[in-house]
Amino acid sequence: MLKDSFVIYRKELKNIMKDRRAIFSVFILPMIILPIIFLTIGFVTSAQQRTDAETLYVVNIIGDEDGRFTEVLQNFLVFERDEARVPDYTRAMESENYIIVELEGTDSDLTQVGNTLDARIYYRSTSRRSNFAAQQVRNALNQYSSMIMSERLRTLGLSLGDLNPVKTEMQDLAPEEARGTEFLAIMLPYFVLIFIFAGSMNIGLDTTAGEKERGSLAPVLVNQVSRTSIALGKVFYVMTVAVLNSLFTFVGLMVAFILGGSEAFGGEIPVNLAGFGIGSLIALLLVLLVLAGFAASLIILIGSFARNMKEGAGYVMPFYLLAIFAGIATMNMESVHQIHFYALPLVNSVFVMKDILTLQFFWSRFVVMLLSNLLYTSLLVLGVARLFNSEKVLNTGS
Amino acid sequence: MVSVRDVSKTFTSRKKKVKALEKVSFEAKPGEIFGLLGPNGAGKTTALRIVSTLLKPDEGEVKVNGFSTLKQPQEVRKTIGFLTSDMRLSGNLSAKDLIFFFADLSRVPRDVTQKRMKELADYLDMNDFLERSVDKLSTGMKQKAAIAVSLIHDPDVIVFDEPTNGLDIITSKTVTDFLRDFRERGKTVIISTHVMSVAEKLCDRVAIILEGRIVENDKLKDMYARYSTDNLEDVFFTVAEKEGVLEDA
Repeated sequence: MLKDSFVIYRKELKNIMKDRRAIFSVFILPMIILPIIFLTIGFVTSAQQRTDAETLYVVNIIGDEDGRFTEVLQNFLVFERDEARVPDYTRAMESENYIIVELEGTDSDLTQVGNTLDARIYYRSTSRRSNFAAQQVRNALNQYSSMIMSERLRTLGLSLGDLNPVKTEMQDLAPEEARGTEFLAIMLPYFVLIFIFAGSMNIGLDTTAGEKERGSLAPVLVNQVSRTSIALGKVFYVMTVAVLNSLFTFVGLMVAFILGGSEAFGGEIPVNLAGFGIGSLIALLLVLLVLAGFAASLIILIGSFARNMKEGAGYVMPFYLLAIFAGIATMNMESVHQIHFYALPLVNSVFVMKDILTLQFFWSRFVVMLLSNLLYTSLLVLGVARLFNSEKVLNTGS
Repeated sequence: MVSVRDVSKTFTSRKKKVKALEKVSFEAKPGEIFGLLGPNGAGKTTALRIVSTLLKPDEGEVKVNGFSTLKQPQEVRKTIGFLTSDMRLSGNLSAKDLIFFFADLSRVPRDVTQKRMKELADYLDMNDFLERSVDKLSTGMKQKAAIAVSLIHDPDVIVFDEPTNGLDIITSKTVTDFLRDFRERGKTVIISTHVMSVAEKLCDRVAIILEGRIVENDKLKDMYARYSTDNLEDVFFTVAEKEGVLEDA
């Protein structure tokens, strides 16, 4: 039976390997799209931040008679003062780089307890630059506030440090090789889940519903190989493409991080791969294999039900969205402890991937995930084989 | 030899039952071309799909070279070459790749496949495009490739659903010549068609199928004699009128 499946498998694989567009979209695109996306986002974000910081802002500071706040603000923002001293709210509303800071109370002695300074910042929240300038003014006001507080404490013979009697020091006890893997544990399972489904969707539907639509399935069925072999050959083929697709996605993700694409997610994020040994990689590959097997058999089953590609795409879409939802929902979650979660399809693979990536391997979780996914895949393959053995696979009318 | 006995088939679609075949019987013998003639939706394709083991009859029995399609489908498939005009070869594989693929499915040894492929390529004039991707072939070339694919295991019986449907005049001629040649070699050929001239030119025996029932089944010349005519069209419309099918249409 497996020999016959291999004939189907070899033919399908040969067909896709001769299709340049398919090779590009299934294998090359995932490898280059992530670095391109990450680097583009990183480049755009840092370019915006640089532009925001380098822009010359006009700040109308009202009430800073002694100029002390203006002096502090110079450490935070490149600006020139609007000398009008009259607030021009219309300009603040229309301009991206004009904000107003109103200070009330600078005429009193702020070193005296009871005297306060009221500060109001007028800016436009819909403008990125105006937001940046307002944020920098807030930072400057915080520093100004600390300065005043220090002066008050000095009159009482105290310092700012005296207000913080508790000194905190964090000691990370995680193994050194496991540090810096959190970000990978957040991102990789999500991308793997999406690309496994996205990678197998089109080819899975093409080899089932597509063949039916083209009329090329019937001649294959009128052959002496068993229908179960045909079904298995197709599942193996889709599974292979899905696994390759995910592996290339993984490579793409690594390239993106190495090239500094993690800046796209808020700056330098340490990505540590030093702790990955051959054992971790084999475990990761096994997760990928069973996940791809599950996705492939599910898509082949759905595709075999559908009469054409369009109908098949409609049937598959909810499952694809479910995979995306599972990816997003578990993105920031840590692996759960309850063992029954590892029997849930999709999320079990995500949790075990997180375990492996953060170098916390639990055999019990891994085995439950592996066995449950194998069970689901077997049931789905059984369903595909039954469908192929019935005349419903052709969905004929008359 | 193909024998179809009292075969009935009903399809259920959206809780609606459609009787596609009702007590259909016919026989196709080696060295003859048997034609199922009928309008669209008469049940021709269903009948041929049952013969080819793609569908199972609800009632009745079909035997191909003595093997039951229900009890020994694998044996039946070994002896059948199935072709349909709906089959559109596509993809990046060449005609040669597909021929080898179907030969492997039929467990034909590689050296035998090579020899048969050469014979078929010479016969169907395929040598110029044997290595070309099927996506880049013309309709006629694709049809020739499909014929080669379905015959690579040298079947005794060929089942061809609407053999000349959608083909240009030159490819039609290649297909009809090929079917005649197949008959001369003592093979059994069953075709379905809704084109009377195809049935007239090609078939030794014709069964007229209307609304899932065989209403006439005989050798062409005997049929003409019984209806005192010299063409199939007269026979068809006389039978259709008698069965009340023309009124329904």
